[in-house]
Formats: sequence, C-alpha cells, structure tokens
Amino acid sequence: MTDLDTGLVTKRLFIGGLSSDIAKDDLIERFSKFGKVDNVKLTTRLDDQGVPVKSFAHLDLEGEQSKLKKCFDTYQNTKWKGSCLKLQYAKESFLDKLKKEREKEDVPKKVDASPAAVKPPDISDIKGPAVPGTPLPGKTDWVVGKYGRVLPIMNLKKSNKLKVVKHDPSKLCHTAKIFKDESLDLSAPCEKLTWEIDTPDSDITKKRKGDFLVTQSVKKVKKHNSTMSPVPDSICRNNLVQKQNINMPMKPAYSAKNQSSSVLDIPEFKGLQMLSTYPVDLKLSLTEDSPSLDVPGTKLENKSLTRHKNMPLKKNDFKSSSTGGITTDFKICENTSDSISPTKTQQKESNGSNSSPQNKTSQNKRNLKVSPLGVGAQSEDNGNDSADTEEIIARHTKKCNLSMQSSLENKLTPVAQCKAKPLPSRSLNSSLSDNSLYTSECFTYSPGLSDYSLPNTSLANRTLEDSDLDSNDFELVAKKLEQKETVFKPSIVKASPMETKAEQKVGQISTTVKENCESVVKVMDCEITEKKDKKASDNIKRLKAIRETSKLKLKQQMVIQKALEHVDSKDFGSVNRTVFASDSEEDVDDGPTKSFSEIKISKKSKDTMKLFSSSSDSESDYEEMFKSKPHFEGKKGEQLIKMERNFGDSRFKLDAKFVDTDSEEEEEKNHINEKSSQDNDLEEEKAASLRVLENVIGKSNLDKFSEKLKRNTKYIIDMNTVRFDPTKVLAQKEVQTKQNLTPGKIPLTLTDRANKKSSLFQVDMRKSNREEETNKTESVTKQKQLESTKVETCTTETKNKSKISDPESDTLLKTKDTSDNVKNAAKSRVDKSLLNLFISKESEKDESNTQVFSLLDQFGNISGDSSNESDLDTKAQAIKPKAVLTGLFKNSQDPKTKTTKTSTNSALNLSDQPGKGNNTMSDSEDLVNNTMSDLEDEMDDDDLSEEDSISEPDDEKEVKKLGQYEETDQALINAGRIDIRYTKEVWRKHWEEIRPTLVKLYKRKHKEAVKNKRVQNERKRKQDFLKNVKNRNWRHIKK
Amino acid sequence: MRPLTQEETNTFFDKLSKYIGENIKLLIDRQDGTYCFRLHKDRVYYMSEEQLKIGSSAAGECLVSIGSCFGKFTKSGKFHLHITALDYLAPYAKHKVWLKSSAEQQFLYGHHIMKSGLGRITESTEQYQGVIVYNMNDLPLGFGVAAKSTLACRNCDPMTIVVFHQADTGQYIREEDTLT
Repeated sequence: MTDLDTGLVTKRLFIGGLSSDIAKDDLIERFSKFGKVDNVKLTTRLDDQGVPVKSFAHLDLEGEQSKLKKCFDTYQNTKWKGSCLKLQYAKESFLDKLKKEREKEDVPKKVDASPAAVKPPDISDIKGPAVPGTPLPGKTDWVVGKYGRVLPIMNLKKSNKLKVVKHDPSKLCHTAKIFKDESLDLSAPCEKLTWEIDTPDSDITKKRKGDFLVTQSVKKVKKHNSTMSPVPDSICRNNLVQKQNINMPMKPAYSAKNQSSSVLDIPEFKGLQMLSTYPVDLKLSLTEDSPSLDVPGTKLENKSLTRHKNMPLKKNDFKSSSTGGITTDFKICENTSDSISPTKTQQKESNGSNSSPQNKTSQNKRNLKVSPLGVGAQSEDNGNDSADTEEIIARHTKKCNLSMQSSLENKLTPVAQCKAKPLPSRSLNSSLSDNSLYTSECFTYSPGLSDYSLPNTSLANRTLEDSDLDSNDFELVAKKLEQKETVFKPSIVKASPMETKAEQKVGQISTTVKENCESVVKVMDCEITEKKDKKASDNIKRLKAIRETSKLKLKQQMVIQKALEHVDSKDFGSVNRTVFASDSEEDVDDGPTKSFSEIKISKKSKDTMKLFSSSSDSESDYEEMFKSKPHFEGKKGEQLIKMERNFGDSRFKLDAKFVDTDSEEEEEKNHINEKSSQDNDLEEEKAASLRVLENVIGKSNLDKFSEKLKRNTKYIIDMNTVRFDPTKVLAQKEVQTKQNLTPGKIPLTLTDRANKKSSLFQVDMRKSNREEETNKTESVTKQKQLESTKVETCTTETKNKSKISDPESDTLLKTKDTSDNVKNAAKSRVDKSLLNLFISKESEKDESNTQVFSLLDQFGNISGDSSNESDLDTKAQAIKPKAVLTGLFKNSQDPKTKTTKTSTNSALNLSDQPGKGNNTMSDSEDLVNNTMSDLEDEMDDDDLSEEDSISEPDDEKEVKKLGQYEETDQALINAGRIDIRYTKEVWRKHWEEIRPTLVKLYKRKHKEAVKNKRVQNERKRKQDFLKNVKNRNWRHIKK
Repeated sequence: MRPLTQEETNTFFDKLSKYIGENIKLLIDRQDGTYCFRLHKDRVYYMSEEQLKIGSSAAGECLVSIGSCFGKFTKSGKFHLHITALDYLAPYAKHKVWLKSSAEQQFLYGHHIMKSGLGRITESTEQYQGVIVYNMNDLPLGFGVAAKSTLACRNCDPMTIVVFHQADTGQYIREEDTLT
C-alpha cells in the first residue's frame, strides 16, 4: 500500500475526541490540507437517552510522510469546537483485512493447481490435533499419516486387476506394505557378490586367511596330537579289551603271548594314531614293522612282531582262500605310507620310494617264511603296489591334501581290518557314523569301516570285499591258523621268557607301558643302526624327537589313566578295578583274560604288600592301643579317658598334662561352699522373713497354722509350675480302673478257691487226715468242716467277720491263705513258704496275689486229676463258673438263685440264708458264703450227678458269657469314671454325655441277668422234674 | 536386685496377709525348693533359687523382670499388689468374692463390684479385708478390698459398692506395657 515511487503514503487515521456537531465535510476540509482524504467514516456513540457521548472518525489520508507527520503535529491535542482532538494511526479496517486475506489465499491455490510442484503441505496448516487420518484442510488427497507426516493418498492400479485401488497412507503406511520391484531380484548368490583380487597374497594376508607356512603347520599338528592325548588312552583300553576278544579263537598259550603283545601294542598304536594325524609317525610304525620282520634278533622285537606277523599271516590265509586282496592292500598301504612319510620332506620322497622296495623284499621274505603259497599272488600284487605307489606319489606331487588323507585312510584300513578280522561278529553298524575323528577310533579295531564313509579308490572297495569275505571265512582262517601255529611256536618260545619278565613288570600297567616304550625305542635304535642311511639318520633324529614327545604323551596318558581309573571303571571295570577283587570275579573272566587276571594278581599282590606294609604300622598302633597307660589310671585317668572320648578325634591323645583335677576339685569344693553359703544366706533370709511374718500375723496364729499344716499335710501346688501332663492323667485313670477291677477279680479267685477247697477237701477226706493236722490253724477249720458243712460255713463267716475290721486286703489274704493251706493239705505237701506267707500275711500283698494265682492254676490241675477219681470233682468244676457268676451278680442274682436252691436243698442251706441276706458283710465273705452254699447244693445233689452232667454245658455257656459280663462291668466302670478336676458344669456335661451309654449298659446288664435267671430257672425246673420223675419211679417201685 | 529389708518385708507381708493371711508361710517355706522375695526397681519379685542365680548374673539396669512380680513399693513407702501376684494369692485366698457373670466384665474393665454383681461372698469377711475375686466358675479374676463386711452387704441396696477394685486380669491387656 505504500507507493515508494511517489513517496506518498496512505494511512488510515483515527481521529478521536470530536465534538458531536462536527460533520464529515469539516473533517475532509481540515485534513485535505495534508493530503487526499478518502473513505471518511464518522461514528457517534449515543447514550441510552440518545444523547451523543463521544464521536470519532476514521479516514484514509493519502499524502507524503512528512505531511502526515505535520498533520499529526498540528492537530494532536488541539481543541476543535470545544473538544480535544486525538490522532492516531488506526488499525486496518476489517473489510480491508478480509480482502487482503482473500487475495493471499488465492495465490497458493494457484500454486496447488500446478501438479509439478508436489510439495507436501505442512502439518502446521492443520488446526487442532494432527491425528493420523485427518485430511489436510483445503487439500484433497493429503492425509496426516503416522508419526505426524503428511502423506498423499494414492490411487494405484493393481498388477493383475483393472481396478484402481485407493491407498490411504494413514491406514496402510508403516504397516510394512512393500511394493516389490521384480527387477531387484538377485540372480547371483551372495558369495558371488564378493570377489578376490588377482594379485598374489602376501604372508600376512595368507595368515589372515588361515594359510600358514609349512613349518608352522607341523607345529600345529603336533599340538593337535598333544590335544589328542586323551583319545589314545581310551584307544589303549579298547585295544586291551578287544585283544581279549581276539584271543578267543587262539590257544591259551598264544593268548598269553598276545596279551603281552597287546600291552606292547599300546605304543604301536600310539604310533598308528600318530600316523593318522602325522604321516611321519606312520613311517615310524612301519619301520618298526619292517626291520623287525627282517631281523628277528631282539626278543622284544619278536614279541611285538609276532602279533604283526599274525596279521599278515591271516591275510595270507585269506588270500589263499579268497581272492587275496588284503595282503596286497597291506603292502600297498605300507608302501604308500613309505611314500607318504616323506611328504614333509619332499626330498626324501624318492628315498621313501627307494626304501619301499626293501620293504617289499622283506614282505616277500615274510610271505615266503610264513606262507609259501601266496608267493605267486604277491608278485602280482607287487606290481599293483608299484602302480599304486606311483599313483600316490603323483598325488603327492600334486600336493593334494584330500588325496593324502584318503591314502592315509587306505593305509590304515587294512590295519584296522587286521584287527577286525578276528572279530567278524563285530558288525558294520558303527560304520555309518564315520567322521574324520572317528576314523582314528576305527584304527583302534572298531571294525575297519572307515572305508565306507570314504569314497575311495578301488583299494578301499577291495578291502571292503575282503572284510566281508573275512567274516564269512573266519572259521577257515581259524583252522589255518591252527595249522600254522607250528610256524609261530619258535617265536612264541623266544618271546616266552620275555613274557614272564614283562609279566613280572606288569605290576602296574603304566610301568610296563613305559618299558614297552623303551623297548620300542630300542627296536628303533637297532633298526637305525642296521639301516645306516645318511638321510635316514636325519629321519632318525626326528623320530627320536617324536618318540620323546610320544613318551611324554604316554606319561601324560598314564597320569590321566590313573586319574580316570575310578571314573571310567564302568566299562573297563575288569581292568581298572584294582583292589579287593574277589575270587568270583576271577571266575567270571577266566580263559582268555587269564593273563589279565595274572596282571591283576600281581597288582593285587603289590597292593596287598602295600597293605601289609601299612598294616605293620597299624599293628604297632594296635599294640599301642592295648598298652596300659599310666596317665589313664585312677580317677583322674577316667576323667582323662572321658575327655578323650568327648574330644572325638582319635589322633589327638590326651596326656597327663591335661589333667587338672586338683584345681577342678578345688573349684568344685569352692562351688559347694559357695552354694552352701548361698543356701545359708537364703535360709537366713527365710528365717528373717518368717520372723517378720510372725510379727505381722502374730506368733500364736502362725504356730497354729504350722501345726495345722503338719496335721493335714496338704500339699499345696504352685499352679505356675503345674503343667498338664496327659500321660499322668492316663496313669491315674489306669490306676482307677485297676482299683475298680481288683474287687471284681479277687472275689472270683476266692470263689474258685472256695470251690476247690471244698471239693478237694472231700476228696482228701478219704486219703488222709495227717496233713490236716500239720496245718495248725487250718486244721481246726477243716476239722470243723469235716464235722459238718454247716459248721464250716459258720466258721468261715465268723472268720470273715472277724476280719472285716481289717482292711480288705487282709481279709482277702487270709481267705487266700486258708485256701492255700487247704490246697496243701490236698496235695499232702506242706509248703513252708506258704506257711511263712501265712505267718506274714500283711507283708506282701502283691506277691501273695501272684502266688495265689499260680497256685490256683496248680490247684485247677490237681482238681482235674482228682476229677478222674471221683464224680464229685467234676461237679465241683461245673459249679465253679456258676459260683463266679453268683459272685458277679451277688446283689441281684444270688439271693434269688439261692432261694430257688433252698427250695430244693436241705436245711443246711436254710441255715446259710442269713449269711446271704447280710448285705453289710464284705464282698468276699458274701461270695464265700454263696459259693459254700452252692457247693453244698451240689454236694446234696450227689445222687443227681447225671443231671449235673447234663446241666454242665449250660454252665459252660455261662462261662463264656462271663467274659461278656466282665466287659459290661468294665464298660460301666469306664463310663462312670470322671476326672476329679471337673467343675460342676463339666460334670453335668460329662454326665449327660455318658448317661445314654450308662443306661444302655445297665439295660444290657439287666437283660443278661434276666436271661441268666431264666436259664437257671429252667435248669432248676428240669432238675425238679427229673427228681420228681425219680421219686415217682421210686414210689412206683415201692408200690 | 536385693533382698527386702526388715521394714519392707513388714509392709509387704502386712499387705499380703490381708489377702492370704498366714498362708504367706507357704510361700516362704516351700516344700518344692527354696523361694525368696527380691526387690528390684521398687518392685518385689518372687522367684526360685535357680532363677535367683540366673538373675544375679544380669546387670541391674538390664533386668526388666525376674520370677513373678508381686507388686511395688510406692514413693511413700506403701506397697501395691499387682495383678501378677494373683497366681500366688488365689490358691491361698482367705476371703473370696464370686461375681455374677453379668458383673464379670465390668470388673475386668476395672470397675468396682456392686452388690448387684455380687454372686457369693465368704462368710465373716470384714470391712477393708482383702478379697480375691472369682467368677462363678471359680476362675480368679482379680482382687480387691471388701468395702463392706458380709453382714453389711446383706442389707445394702444393690448399687452400693461391695468390693473396691484393685487389680484384675484385664490389666494384662490394658496395662501390658507397664506390667512386669
């Protein structure tokens, strides 16, 4: 709005403080001096009443800046028509503003219309929250996407369909929708994306790649061997174990030999093992083989060789029997090994090949020696061998590692086969799981199936076939072996002394192994001297070093083996189980393992020796143990011993030094003194307090109280110290039950005794009166009884009555004693002890009780004896239970029964009636009376013995019931038992609880009593009836 | 911890004799061992010889309580029985008061016993006689002092106090922190 060119400025002015009567024209007139006035707007604000309060005007003034200023200066705060003018630059008019905005808006619209410039609109355009999915205002197809970005909505055509699909980025974007571009597909694999530079590698780069120099590689291999060390250990074991198996088909002598050889094999195998990893080792082992074959001078060699010889022999046999591929294989392998061995030193390759003929020749010799049959075949084989060797050499020249390995494996397979042959049964199962590492195990006689896994040359295939053949023709081989044993024998003979030596040494395997190592070394040395090759000497040096390393390894192995002996004892228990092998164990592994057992024995013997040596020490200890030690004597010694025992450690011995009893005693004395002093103090205190108490309460009162205390020695329990002891409560209850029981039981015994007494008495009446006389007191009673039962009862009654005053126990005792005496009389034996008892009645109640019981039993027996003599006794026995019953139900039952009896019985019973009726009398007395009456009844019924016999079964039944009754009584007693400490409520509760049971029990008892009564009544009736019948009969007869 | 002096024993026994009379002798002269009273921090403790031996090894400041506390000597030299003595008072009680079950709780909350709550009372209980309070199941609840003699109790109206409350077993809960 500013026209810079002209210098004119258009400003809207606010003119305030105008008087109400100023018109538009006046304003124009006034301001036109300073510029062009336009767009004048005069506004007057009116009051409520329509009176103008103030008026102001807006106008656009177009003019120069200076003029505007001038205008302001001239009119600002000037009075015009009585009012002060106020000039201000006015704000832009609203309409203008709108106009301007519209104009501005029009401009971007135009920009949008051009599609080329797709500039995403800013999110700031959106008023309010920019929630994803909200469309931008004024912009179609633009949406706020996730994360606040504005994204375009796209209309895309799907690849297959004609349809155009709208993609809303707010919904689809960031949901990992990927539009694939097919052109991006990589045809080449990732590996091909990288490439190498053609320039030759520097040493460092090589190293980086993992290619090390040759010298370094050797070292590495060695290291590898060292790491492998534990494996051979296991191999050795395998070896040993399998050797045993190998021995199976062979003769025992040979087996023994083989055993020794097996021990010797360990280093060899070590060698073989090394072959697998380190070709030079192969040569070593092979050289071992070859010279030994050539020169059988040294015995050790022979030993080691014999085994090796065996293998070739077998092979030869096989060859003779079958196609004969194995020997060739073996040779080849030997040759190859020779050829391979120089791989490290390529110069020696030729030498190796040169040496191979030697080997061949030796082999030939060997073959000639052993099996002259296979010579022709061998010559052919040799040709093959040479071809093979050439091939292999060629390979080596190529430096193909893979081929080397395969050749190695080929070499080793025959070896493996050699060992596998004796074990055709060892099937080819393990063959499938063959790794490069596993092959090493394969060498160690696990049937040589490394062939399978390795797709090798024809040799391997051949060996395969051979192995199959071997398995088939094993028996044949065994036969042939037997035939050829004649050939072996000399060598065996040679070896035998060494064997013995070896066995002597075998005490521990480790030592033997070491020796073997040494022997091998010797062999090597011999061999070396024989060869006398310059280049070979270098080799020898190297070999020496290797041997040393191998030795070290062996040592390590041994250490490990020793350490693992206990751990791995499971599989190779027979080998490793060293000490305390029982005879049974030896029995188990007999035959082939004899040699082993021998070894074991030797071991054992050593161990035992050790044991003995140690035991000698222990013996001395033993002796020491039993030596009397002076410091252990006396009281102090006892204390010492105690101390020692308490100390627990047997190693720690206590001397006399440790005794400080004097001081202890002193201490104790002091302690006692202190105690006493303390007690005295307390006593004094007590006395003092009592004195105070006297003062407080008054002496008279206290004295009275103390007297009272003395009188009723009521022990007041400190309730704080009292604890509820359930066991005690139980004990109390038991005591109670006992107390309850005893009165019930004792009457029983009494009744029994009374019965017996009477019955026996009658029996003995006939026998003798002499013994009765001996009994002073009792004799009187007996005599009385003899005179008349009536009188007897009277006497007993009187007696009892007299005893009533005494405690119950006394009465019981007396009755017992009387009965005892009676019994004695019956026995016609006077028991002095009993007499003594009689004299000292009150002394021992329990004892007498027990005695009485025992005597009763005897008594019963006697009565039984006597029963044979007379019918009376039987009757008496029959009465027994009845009496018991009556004893039990004395109150309810007895009177009735007796009344019933009395009706039938004589007047004697009637005389007893008052006794029965007397309830005040003690139980025992009553019972005695009852029983007596019963007895009398029975005695009266002498003539009715038959009837009694009839009635006996009933009695027996009653006896059975007796137990029941007792039970009921017991139950009653138990039910009635109440703890003394119960409070009233508890009492009531308890009573309520037990009431029903008690009622039930009483009812039952009553029922039983009634039943019993009925039975007895019936019996009586029967008896009566029979009597009547008899009487009638009598009458009839009389008539 | 020291034995009571003559005076102290006098006052103590004086107090105790109000409740159990000459039965104090049973506390001093016991059949089951030597027992004694000891003063510790103005409190009288009743303990056995063994306890005394053990307790004597402890420092005075460290010892909170030993045996059972019978009560304490006030600053003015009087003796107050504590509820903890109830175990020894109850078995030897001379005069007893039985509470109705309705008044039981009131007493256990520390109120005096009114005639309405009185179930039974020992005959010939004099005024200001120490009494042991039992519930009707003969469980000792506490003790107090008879405010009225047995005879006076018969004639008084139901709301008059019969027994002054001194200690009750509710104190074991109410005064748990102060009881030793």
